[in-house]
Amino acid sequence: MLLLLAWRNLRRNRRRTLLSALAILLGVLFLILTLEMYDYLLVRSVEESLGTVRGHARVVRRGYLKDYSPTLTLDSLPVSIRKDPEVVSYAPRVRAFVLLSGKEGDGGAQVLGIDPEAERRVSSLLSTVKEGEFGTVALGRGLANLLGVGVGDTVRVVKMGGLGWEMEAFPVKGILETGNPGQDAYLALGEIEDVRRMTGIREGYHEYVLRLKHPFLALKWKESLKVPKGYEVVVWQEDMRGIWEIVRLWWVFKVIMAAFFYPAVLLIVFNTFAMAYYERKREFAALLAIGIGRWRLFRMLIYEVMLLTFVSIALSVPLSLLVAYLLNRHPIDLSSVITNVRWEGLYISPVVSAALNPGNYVLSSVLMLLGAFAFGIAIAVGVFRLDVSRTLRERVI
Amino acid sequence: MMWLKLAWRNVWRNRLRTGIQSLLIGGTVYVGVVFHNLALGNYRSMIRQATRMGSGDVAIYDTLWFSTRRPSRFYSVGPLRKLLHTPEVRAFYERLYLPAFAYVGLMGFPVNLVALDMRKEAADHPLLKGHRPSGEDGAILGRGLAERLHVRKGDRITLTVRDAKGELKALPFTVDGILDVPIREVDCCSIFGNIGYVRRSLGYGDGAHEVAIMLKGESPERFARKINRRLPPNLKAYTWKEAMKELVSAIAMDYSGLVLMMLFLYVVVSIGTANVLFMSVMDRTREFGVMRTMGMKPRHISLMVALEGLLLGTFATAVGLSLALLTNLYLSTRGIDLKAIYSLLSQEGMTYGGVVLEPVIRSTWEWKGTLGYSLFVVLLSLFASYFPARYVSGIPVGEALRK
Repeated sequence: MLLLLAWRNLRRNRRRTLLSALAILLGVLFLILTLEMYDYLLVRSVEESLGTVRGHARVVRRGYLKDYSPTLTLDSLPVSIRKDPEVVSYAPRVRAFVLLSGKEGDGGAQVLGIDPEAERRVSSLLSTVKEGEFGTVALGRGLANLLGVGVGDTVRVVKMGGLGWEMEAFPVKGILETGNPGQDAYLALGEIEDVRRMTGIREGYHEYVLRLKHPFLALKWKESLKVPKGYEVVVWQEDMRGIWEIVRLWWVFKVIMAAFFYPAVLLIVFNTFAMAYYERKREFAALLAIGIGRWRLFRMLIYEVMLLTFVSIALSVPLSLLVAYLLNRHPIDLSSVITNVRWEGLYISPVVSAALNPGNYVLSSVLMLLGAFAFGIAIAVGVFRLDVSRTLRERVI
Repeated sequence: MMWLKLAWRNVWRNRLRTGIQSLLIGGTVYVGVVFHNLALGNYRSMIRQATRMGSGDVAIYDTLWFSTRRPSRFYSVGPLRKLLHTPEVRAFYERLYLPAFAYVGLMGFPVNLVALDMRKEAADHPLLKGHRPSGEDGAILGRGLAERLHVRKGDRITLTVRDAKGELKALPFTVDGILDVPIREVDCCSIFGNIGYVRRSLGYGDGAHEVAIMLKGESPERFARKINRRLPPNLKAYTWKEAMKELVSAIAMDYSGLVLMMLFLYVVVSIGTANVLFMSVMDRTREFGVMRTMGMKPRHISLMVALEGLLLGTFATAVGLSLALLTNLYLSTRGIDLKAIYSLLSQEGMTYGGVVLEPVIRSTWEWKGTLGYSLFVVLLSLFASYFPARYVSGIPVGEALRK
């Protein structure tokens, strides 16, 4: 019955109720969309970064990542890791740091030797080949520009050999674009055998890249993993500590965003209900005089605030979902206006889209309900202080 | 004047209602002004750091430099030096950027050799402050690269690099300093050497890939336009905005977040003001009826309601702006220390847009934005009063008197 009464009371001044509802609706809508957009930027940037060169985790010979010594190789991936249920797939890689020489100039490069079949199961590295095809060598776009070569040209790999400088020529088979121009300025791909020759090793691999079932739980997985002696497992969170800390504390950022967005909305709600309360003070006094308890009145006022908030949220959430879905399906690419931006080792593409993360809807709704509840209490608590006889004698504003 | 007095009195008839709405309007102005100035202060610090490390306020490059970054795109700076000795120029720095391969024993890594005048640049370059080269072959490199190559201060390092004629040469350096910088490109892959030594050893004469110009206060755009008229066709002066597009994008991306927030607050302020004025108007329907019977025209009543909106907006904006200016005074002198937050996120320091973020953010005084945000809120309050004003002008007298 109290709920019905609250609903009726809300409809007494429709314009005021509608304006307050509109403020709540917009507040929730803005917050959800902002969080969805930021989530998209973060998650997409992390996934893109992990999906090409870095991988979710890497297995190397202990000490390899300190100085990339070419002799620290692995023969195979330890069975305990290969058979781990968290490991979805893995791919071997060989790495060479070389000086490449082209028609117009030279450039230092990191050449990754990959097994195309295995690599496809782990990363999207092969799909970054935009011109030509994979083979020894496929050059990053920036590197190709620096060397002044294109598909079909030849580059020479300059390396230190037993007799001084040695050069080996390779055709340029493809040009790749990873979406990270800094990376494309020094990255090259090749067949494992060819890259082994560049580093001077005959067999083995420098690392195994792993794809995990739950990449965001990689650190926990590593803690539970028994790494064989002489091996080292490095998960992406260790490689990108700054970004991982941001991901870990992302919820704090979301609450801070809500703290910016919601007080303004709640002030409107508070103002509306405070006015409604003062207008109805005499009515409350009369209700108290005929025996209705203060606690009941208090609850009715809380119901009014919560009902208004709930209905507004119920309208806002599907609307937000619709806008987010449309943005998700039709991202707005601003790359013609602004360039990619580096952030703690990530490359953020200027694309406006939404992540469709249910958590954002729950968080925004719950925070709004809690805020409205707190403001509702601040108003409704007035009924406990209401002086019945004096209020009944007063003129209402 | 009478209308203003009347409107002012009406605004304060319900103090709680007006007070809450003033809090909302004033709060919006406060947030807008404080955050705008804080963001701009942070951007200025980023720009200052980036221009000193990178292109300066204006930089001169070969016209094909940005599309190729090839070492062959160097030019002779002799004729430019005279051109740059003008009162607008505080300093200019000549630099060569050469892709190279660093060797120590059998360990080798690709690096970028940045050749510059270390003594001269120590005054401006944030990374070179406190580093004094011991000899002409002295080099400074990032911690990551030093660890990879197993070198320490005083060790020798050899770079394989092409000379100006395109011949491969081995260029030895002595490690003079190791940098702890969170910028990956510097940490793992850059070596700073003396330009005189590099030029002599590799036959670059007085060549440079970049001349970074630091201005005394002149607008970079104006200076670039002026100098471009006197440069040969293969060279062009670029402002820092043209030369460091990533930084411009980083600032644009960050600022758009603030704009989004302000946009939302503006919408909410409009709704709130309209709501308050509607409440006020509904309370006084009978009063308006009396005023109409006494001969007041509907447009006069509308004008009074509009003035109420304007006064409410102006008053609240004045309060919000005053508090914002006081806060800004504090933030521009003391700043906000974010060291604790940054160290929580990254021990080496946070980077954004290729720049290391300063742990202490100081706001700036940017009057155009400050007054713009404030004025916009006042206009918004006036705009929000349009609907209640239109509503009162349409109330029939008889109906109003019956309420």
